[in-house]
Amino acid sequence: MISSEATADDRRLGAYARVPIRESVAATVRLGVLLYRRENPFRPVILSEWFRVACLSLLFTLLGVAAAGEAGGNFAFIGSVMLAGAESTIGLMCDVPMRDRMDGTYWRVRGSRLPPCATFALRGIPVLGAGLADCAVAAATVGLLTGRLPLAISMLPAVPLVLASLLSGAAVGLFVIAPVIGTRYDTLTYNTVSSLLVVFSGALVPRSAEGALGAVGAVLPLTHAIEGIRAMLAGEPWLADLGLELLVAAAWALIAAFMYTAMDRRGMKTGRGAFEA
Amino acid sequence: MNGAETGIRRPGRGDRPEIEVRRRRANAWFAFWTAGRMQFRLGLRHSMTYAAGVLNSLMFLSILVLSRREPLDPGSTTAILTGTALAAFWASSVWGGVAILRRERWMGVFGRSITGVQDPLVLLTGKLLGASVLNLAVVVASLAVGCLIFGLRPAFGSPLGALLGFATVVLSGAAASLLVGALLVVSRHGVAISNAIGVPISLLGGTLLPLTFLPEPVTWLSRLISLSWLQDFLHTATAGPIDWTPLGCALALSLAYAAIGVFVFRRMVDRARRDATLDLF
Repeated sequence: MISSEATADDRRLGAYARVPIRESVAATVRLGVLLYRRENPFRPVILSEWFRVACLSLLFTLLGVAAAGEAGGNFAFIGSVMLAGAESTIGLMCDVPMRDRMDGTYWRVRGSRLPPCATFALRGIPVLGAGLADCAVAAATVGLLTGRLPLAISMLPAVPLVLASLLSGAAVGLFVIAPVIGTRYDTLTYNTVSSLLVVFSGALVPRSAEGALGAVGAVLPLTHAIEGIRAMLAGEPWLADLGLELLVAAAWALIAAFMYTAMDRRGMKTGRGAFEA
Repeated sequence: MNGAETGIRRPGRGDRPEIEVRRRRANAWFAFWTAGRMQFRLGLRHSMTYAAGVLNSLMFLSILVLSRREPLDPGSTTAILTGTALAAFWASSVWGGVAILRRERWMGVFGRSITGVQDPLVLLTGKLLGASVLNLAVVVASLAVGCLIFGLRPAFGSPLGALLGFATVVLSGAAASLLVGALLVVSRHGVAISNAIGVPISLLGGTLLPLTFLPEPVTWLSRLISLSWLQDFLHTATAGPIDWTPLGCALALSLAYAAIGVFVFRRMVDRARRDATLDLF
C-alpha cells in the first residue's frame, strides 16, 4: 500500500521504501489473514482439524489413564491440551514461508519494506489464533467426554502461558522450515519437532530436568509453559516459567531471523533465489 | 516375467507405407509386479514415509513405555510393540497407500493410470501392496531400534504366527488404503481429511489403547476396524497359544474393505470417464 504522502513520481518509480512501516505492517497482517482464510476454509479444513485435535487429545488423555490411573489422565489431559495448540502452530507457521516458495512469489516478499522474516512472522499472526482455538477445542471436547471440564476451566487463568507457548511454537516453526524450503524434506522437519515436543516437553511423559534429555526439553517450546501451568494448578508461582517460555520464544525468533537473512543473502549471491535447492 | 510381443498394424500416412509396430504388451502379473516395485522405490525417496513410519513408531513407543510406572513384563512389552507397530503402520498408510491416487492426480498421471492397456485395479493393487510392504518394513525397523533404546525384550511365542499376522497386516492395509483412497480422491481437501482420519482409527482400533478403556457403545465400531482383530491375533501369536479366530475376522474385514473399495473405485473411474472429469475432481 503506497502512502498518501508519496508523490506521483514516487509511485511511478516504485519507491516503496517510502511506505511508512506502520502501513506496511498493517497490510502484511491483513494479507496474512486473507491467505490463511483462503487456505483454510472452515468446513473442510478447520472442522477436520478440530476433529483430529479432539481425537488426538482424547487418545493421549486415555493413554495417561491406562498408564497411571486418573492422576495420569489429568497429567496427560493438561499436556495434550497444550500440545494441541503448539503442534498446530508449528505446522501452520511452516506453511507461511512455504506458500511463497510454492507460488513462486518470494521475490515480491523481498520487495517489501519489511525484512522477509518479519513479513512471514506478521503473516503468521492468524496462526496464533488457530492454535488458541485448537487448545480450546481440545479442552472443551476432551474435558466434556472424560469428565475433566472442571480441570479445563481451572486452566483458564493460564492463557498467558498458552499464548507464550504458541509464540515459541511459531518461532520454532519459522526456524525449522527455513533450511528445507524447496527440498523434499519439509514434512520431515516439522514432524520431527512435533515428535520431540511430545516426548521431551513433559506434556505426556514426566520430564526429568537433569541430563542431556532434560537440556533438550529446556530449549524446546512448550516445556516451560507446561511446567508453569502445572505449578499454577498446584498453587505455586508460575511467572518465572512464563518468563522462561518467552525467553525460549525470543531465542528461536532470533535464530529464525538470522536463518532467513542468511538464506536471502545466499540467494542474492548465487542469483538462484533464497529457497531454491 | 516377460511380456508378450504383439504386432499392431498402423496405417500409413501420406507417402509412408503401412507399418507394423511391434509393441511389448506386459501381462497382468508383470504389470502388477512392476507397479508394486515402482511404488516401493517411490516411497523410499519420499520423506513422509520416514516422517510417518519412523517418528510415529518411536513417539508412540516412548509414550507407552515412559509413562508406565510399573516395570514391563515380556507379555506387556509385546502387546505394546505390536500395538505401536499397527498404529504407526496405519499412520504411514494414510500418507502412503491412501495418498497414491491423490498424488497421481497432483502429478498429472492419474488419467494415464486409469486409461492404460491394463486394468487400473491391477496396477493400483500392486502399488498399494508395494506401499504397505515398505511402510511395515520401516515401522518394524524403527521399533527394533526403539527396543534397543529402551532395552525392551519382547516375547516371541510363535514366529510363524507373527509372520502370518504381519502378512495379513500388509493385505489389510492395502485393502483399507484402496477403500479410503478411492473415497478421498474425489475431494479437493484430501490432505485435510486424511489428516483427520488417521487419529480416530488409532483411538478406536484397540492398538495403542486397550478396548477396555473405551465406553461400551463404541466398542462395536472398534470391531469394524481390522487393526483391532490383528492386535488380538498378534498378541496371541507372540504370547501363545494362537487363537485363529481374530485372524479370520481380520481377513474377512479386509476382504469387505477390498470389495467396497473396488466398487467405489470402479464407480469413480466410470463416472470420471463418462463425464470427462478425470482431471477436474
